[in-house]
Amino acid sequence: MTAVEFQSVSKRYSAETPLAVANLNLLCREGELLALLGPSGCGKSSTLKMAAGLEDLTEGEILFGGRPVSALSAGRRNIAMVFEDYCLYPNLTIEDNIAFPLSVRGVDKNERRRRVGDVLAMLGLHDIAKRKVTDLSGGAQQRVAIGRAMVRDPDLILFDEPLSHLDGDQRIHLRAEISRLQKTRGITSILVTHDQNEATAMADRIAIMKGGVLQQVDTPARLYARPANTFVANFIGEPPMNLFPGEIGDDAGRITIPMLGEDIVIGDERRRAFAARRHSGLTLGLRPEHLIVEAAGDGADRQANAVVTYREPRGDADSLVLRILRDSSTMVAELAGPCTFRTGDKVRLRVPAANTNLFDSESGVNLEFDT
Amino acid sequence: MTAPLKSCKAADGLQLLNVSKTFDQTDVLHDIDLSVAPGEILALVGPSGAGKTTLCRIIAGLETPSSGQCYMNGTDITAMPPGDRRVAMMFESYALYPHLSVGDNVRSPLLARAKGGLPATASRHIERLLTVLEIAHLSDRLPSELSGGQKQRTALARALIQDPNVLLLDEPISHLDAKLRHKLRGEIRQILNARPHPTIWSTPDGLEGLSVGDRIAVLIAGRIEQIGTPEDIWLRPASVKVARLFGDPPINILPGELQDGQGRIDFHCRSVTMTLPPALAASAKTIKGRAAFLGLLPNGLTLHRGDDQASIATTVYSIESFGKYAIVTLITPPGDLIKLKTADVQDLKLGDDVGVRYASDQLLLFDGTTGRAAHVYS
Repeated sequence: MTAVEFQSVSKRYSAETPLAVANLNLLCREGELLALLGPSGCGKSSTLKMAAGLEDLTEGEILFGGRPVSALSAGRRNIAMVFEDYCLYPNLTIEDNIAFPLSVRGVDKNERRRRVGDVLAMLGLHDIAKRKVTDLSGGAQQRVAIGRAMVRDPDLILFDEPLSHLDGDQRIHLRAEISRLQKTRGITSILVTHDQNEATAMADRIAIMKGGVLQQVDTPARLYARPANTFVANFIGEPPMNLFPGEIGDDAGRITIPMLGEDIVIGDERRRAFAARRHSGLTLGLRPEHLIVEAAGDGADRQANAVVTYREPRGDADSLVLRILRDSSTMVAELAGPCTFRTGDKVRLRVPAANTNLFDSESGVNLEFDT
Repeated sequence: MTAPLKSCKAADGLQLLNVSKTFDQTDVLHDIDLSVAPGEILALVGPSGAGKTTLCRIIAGLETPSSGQCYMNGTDITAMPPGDRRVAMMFESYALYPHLSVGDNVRSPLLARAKGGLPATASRHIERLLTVLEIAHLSDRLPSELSGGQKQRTALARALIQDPNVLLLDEPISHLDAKLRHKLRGEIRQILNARPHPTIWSTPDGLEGLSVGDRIAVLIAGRIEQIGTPEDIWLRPASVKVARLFGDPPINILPGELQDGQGRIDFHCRSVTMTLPPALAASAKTIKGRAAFLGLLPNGLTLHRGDDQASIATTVYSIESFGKYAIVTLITPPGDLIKLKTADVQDLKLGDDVGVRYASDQLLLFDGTTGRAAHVYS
């Protein structure tokens, strides 16, 4: 197993264009599946190509197990790639496709049979090993491609959008399968995808990039619970995190949310995180499933502060789009489905203090994020 | 000759009666009965090849049904030429004019109807729509300069700008990335809420259908399997095929058989034997043979350590963590895979032996021969 380290890596394609990758410092640990995720143009594909040896580095170095590789050609890096369109040999059987990397390297016949047999067993393809790959569904072809990548125990496997050619059901199945195979073999892997669902489903950790700059690298659970800034907060999670203004009050950890007519108390401990700030502007972040929605009316005891403008059923969950009465801004709540709220219902929204994230309203940085 | 308006009480909106279509002796659509009310969005959900596009093309007049009738606001339009129907259709293949810019493509249906120039309100309307669809900055580009997703949004704008008798959206957002799909789904839905015409929105994605449809028609292999509200389809799927189309992950289906016990009915398969809860036992009586499918909803299952009579013995096969929830795939000793959705995976590892408990109100039962739902509801 091999760790892969990007040290101050930059990539510039031409003098006129901005950096595609800017001073990237990133460690993919031994045996880990690390996903590179971001909107198009974020630099994830350039990063993958540099690791593969398909693009030169403008600056910096890439280390495989502590060994610099930027001077090595792609063929000498001991990596395997899995592409979105499988790239199998259509005239070969499943077995021969998997054996191919061993054959070209002159691995002896017995060893070859043993290793191919292992991979076939892992993929559950033993019984149909002699079939042509063209007889298989897209999902099964991609599994063969993954088997071919794993059979020679490379230092690193690079997955380039491996699910994007597959339909819903096959995609859900293969997502779980890739994660299982990677864990079983423990081969260090980097996955590039634009789909946050795929990244969170498969990866141990995710590196979020934007405009060539690394924003945060963390486990899916940490990215979700404690995003480093408002970009990550908005990018991870569907529907995205609610971001809304708050004002720091004068006493112990009280924050006023003017648009809801609500105060929350975050306590002294959390208040310390922004004690040194000069301005009182805060952006609060709250996941839709944490927003509390209560039936309400015009009466004084539970006065409505929002109205349901749209309900989106999603089977086991419902999304509610809510218009805030005071300033007509929008918040989104997610409730267990099917829920009883309907379009036009007046509701009282409450913010549970414990689930909030606190961002600086100017820089967008999470005030409680420790690197 | 006008056919009698059989089940067609409301004359307004769109009605299809016994519509069938055969291509080269292959039946593509069988006896489709469908009505879409004014202002209603009907989500047409089915896997690829189910006949969704053919059905849209018949309504648009681009195909003639082999038998059956189409009515629009009470008028039989079965033989009416497409140009007279005022049907706006967004094609899955986009069908953009290659020589026209994005803006001109979107304007084209209005120009075809307007005498003289377009009123200023039309231009503002187009601009607003392009902004909602996030393609306003591409207004001067040609289709050849667009990505697949941008072309799809241009075609969508060209369909939404019209004021038709019927709007047909054939997989309108399937080629957009997940983020944009989530966002546009709601925005298009809200644009359509204010419209007086019936809309059909076809999609292979069951969850998209639940989100956008006032009602959902499930089309499988040319037949309507079920029509109902999102709640109907989710809580009371009419068949195994319908149930498998909705949910991420889809419902777990275990094939097995029913066994009569003393005053009880057991479901038995290679991975589990369970006594059916009373409500299911009652509905099991509607199953003729012994063969049955048990459906386990992924969010109705819970994990626990150790042995337990009322649980299924499994081993952890794969864990996918999504932040909000995780999907755990489990394998039973005989080799059935069961997927479970849970908020918390804690210290779970691959290869751990765990038991799966099921909430008795989250089970569904289907006839093992026909695949039809056995569940009855009071």
